[in-house]
Amino acid sequence: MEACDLFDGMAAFERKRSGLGAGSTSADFLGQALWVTLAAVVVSGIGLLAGYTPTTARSFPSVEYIQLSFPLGWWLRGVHKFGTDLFVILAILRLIRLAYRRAYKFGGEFTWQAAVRLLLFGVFAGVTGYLLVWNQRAFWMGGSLAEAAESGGIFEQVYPLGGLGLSEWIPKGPLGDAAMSQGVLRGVFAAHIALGFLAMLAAFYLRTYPRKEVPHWRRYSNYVAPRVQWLVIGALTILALILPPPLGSHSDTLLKPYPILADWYFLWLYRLAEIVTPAVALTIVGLIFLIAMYLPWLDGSRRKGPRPVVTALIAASLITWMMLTLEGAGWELPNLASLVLTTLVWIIALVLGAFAENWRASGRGKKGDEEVRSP
Amino acid sequence: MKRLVVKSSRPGRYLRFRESCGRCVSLLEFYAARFFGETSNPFALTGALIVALMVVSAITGIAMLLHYTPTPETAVQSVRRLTDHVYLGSLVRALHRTSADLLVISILFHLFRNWATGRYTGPRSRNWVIGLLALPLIGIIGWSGYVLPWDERGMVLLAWGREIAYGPDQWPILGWLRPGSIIGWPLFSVSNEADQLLRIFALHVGGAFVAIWLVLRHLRPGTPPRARLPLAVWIGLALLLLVIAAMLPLENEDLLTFNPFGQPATVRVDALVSFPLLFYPIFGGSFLAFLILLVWIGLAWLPRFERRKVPAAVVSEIACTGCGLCYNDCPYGAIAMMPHRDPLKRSRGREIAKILLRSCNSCGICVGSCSFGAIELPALMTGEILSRIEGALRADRETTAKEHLSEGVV
Repeated sequence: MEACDLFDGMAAFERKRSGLGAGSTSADFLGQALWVTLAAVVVSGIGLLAGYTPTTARSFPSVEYIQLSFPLGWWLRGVHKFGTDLFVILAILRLIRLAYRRAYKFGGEFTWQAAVRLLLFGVFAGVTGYLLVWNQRAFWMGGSLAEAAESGGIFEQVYPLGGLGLSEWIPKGPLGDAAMSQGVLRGVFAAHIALGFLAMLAAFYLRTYPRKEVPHWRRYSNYVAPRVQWLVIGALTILALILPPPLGSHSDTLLKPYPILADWYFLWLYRLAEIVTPAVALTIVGLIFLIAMYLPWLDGSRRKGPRPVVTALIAASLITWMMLTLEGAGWELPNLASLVLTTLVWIIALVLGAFAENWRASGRGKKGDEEVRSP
Repeated sequence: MKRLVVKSSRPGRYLRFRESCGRCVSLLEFYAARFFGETSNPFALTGALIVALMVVSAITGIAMLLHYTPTPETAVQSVRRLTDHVYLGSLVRALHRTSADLLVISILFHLFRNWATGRYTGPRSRNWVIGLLALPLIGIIGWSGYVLPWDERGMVLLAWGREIAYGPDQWPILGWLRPGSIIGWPLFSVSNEADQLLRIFALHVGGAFVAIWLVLRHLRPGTPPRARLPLAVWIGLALLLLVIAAMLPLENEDLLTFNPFGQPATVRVDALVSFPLLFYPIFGGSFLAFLILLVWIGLAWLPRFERRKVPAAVVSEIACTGCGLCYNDCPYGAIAMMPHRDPLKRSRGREIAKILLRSCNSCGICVGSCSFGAIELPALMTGEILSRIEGALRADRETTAKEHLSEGVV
């Protein structure tokens, strides 16, 4: 099915361009779905604003009111919640595809950076959104975030002037622990809306100034197939109907919550912070972000062919991410050594596979690797 | 190709008036350029100025979200606390107000300049209409910003806004269809005060999302225009904003707590943001809604009064080889490469250039780039096309090609 052509977005496009695939219009399922999902999340967020009150006393009751009696509130809330999840999944898949199609080079550098930023904004908007519900889970997650920021104190000891005095920004409760106050809630609310603005800008950049790798791409860059729209909106609506987003119970500062699982896209970070210290985990995250942002320039090769090393590294990091996520979710994996071993085996296999791909492509001639059409 | 040269359908008094206004704007720009310099002339950068002011408004607005609570009981107190007790709070509040005022001024000047210099016809009519959609939205956002403190002035403005929104219900014939109730339903169909404030808040913040999206669409067609301010203008703008914010600080005396039993005090409506409200005491809600609609439709209809003077480029199907040279050179993205119409050629992947009429500026660059003589501007002689291309090259060396070309066209 062409609409779900996830990893070869160009194939359907090229068929249409050459006039061979009659009726195939979907050039890029992931990009279109990402755009529609973001639009759905922003529009449902504007709707939720009309029912949500960002005060500690009334935020949980107002979310309950939205879920139970606000007109179409269940739909708005479901689309907002599951839309963010879908957004993160699609953004990750899109990054993988951009890397696999080596589209982060040769004019795609800033597209790649915008895609990385989009993922980052989506993830942080998700975290701040979970805090806004102000239930026990939000309380626990706020405490964890505050702890992470507290560990920024260690971070500052390791790297002088590195943490910008982060730990001093956390409001303290009477016992000296991080307090979840009205100020924190308002700050999180403001950050959530600011992240929404930023995600919208990054997505607009991605849609408006697409990469120049393929000629005539610009014509299709703004196109969203109706079936993609209906697929995304329909899936989100069905999810909102059969799986109402959990409400939990009102945040109780006297009741220390039993460790509740974070969002699925943060489980790996919790596991990593368990294995190494939180400060090291934060350093690793910062390094990953920096490397991801400057990957187009770190990969200095001018060759227009498959990139086995980068492909293998990305695949290996993906496998590691999945394993850490599974461990964070409570799966019992033997131990760290087996994890590393498995990853190594996968890397070797992928490098061999990528070299095989490279060899096959060079054997076929350069036609597939050069620009799609030459004058 | 029915007619080669389409004459302007209303060449009379309107066009002469518009062109004299355009001369005034050009003179203003010319003398301002002597003072500010060619590259950092704010009178030629009105669009970029609007984008910059929207950025300032968004940043100060998010900073104010850190302290504002949208509940009827605490809204006034939270704004007072922001003004008095928060470090730099009064400055942030004044900056938000000042940037909104300057935003409205620059939007109105941008509108006037682009109308007077004829930059709304032909391929630009889409930008014109999108901009006109954003204009009332920004006015409504300004109005809701004055309602948000939920003080006495906010309540009065809320009542005025409700009357204007429901105003169309009073119209003679259309009123039977209750258009005002349909317009007002999403904002005013609430049972209590808290919900009303939340609706206004959602309008203010959510409207900012929609306004930014519309402005991005407004910037978009063709190639990216000059949407980025030079550093010198940024610094000047920041200084101007700070000076105005310091000279006209926002005092807490403005925030009178609403007293439902007392007579409303004289309400000082800010003249710039949502300036049509100034006419509310004169005309009343119903007639003012009619006037606003009339002016809006008139402005949106303006591109219909003028047609393009030079028809779009034409491609010869026989001569076009589908090489894509014109596609690569067109600065407006007005050429698309399509599969060839002939099935045999199409099956071999042969393509043909197609002119997108809505985007073509008749600049002549594609005529110069075609090696096969397959594309031409039928209304122009070769010498004219050559001079246009030379002008474009010169303009490209001097500033950007797009501005000068579009001036030459309309």
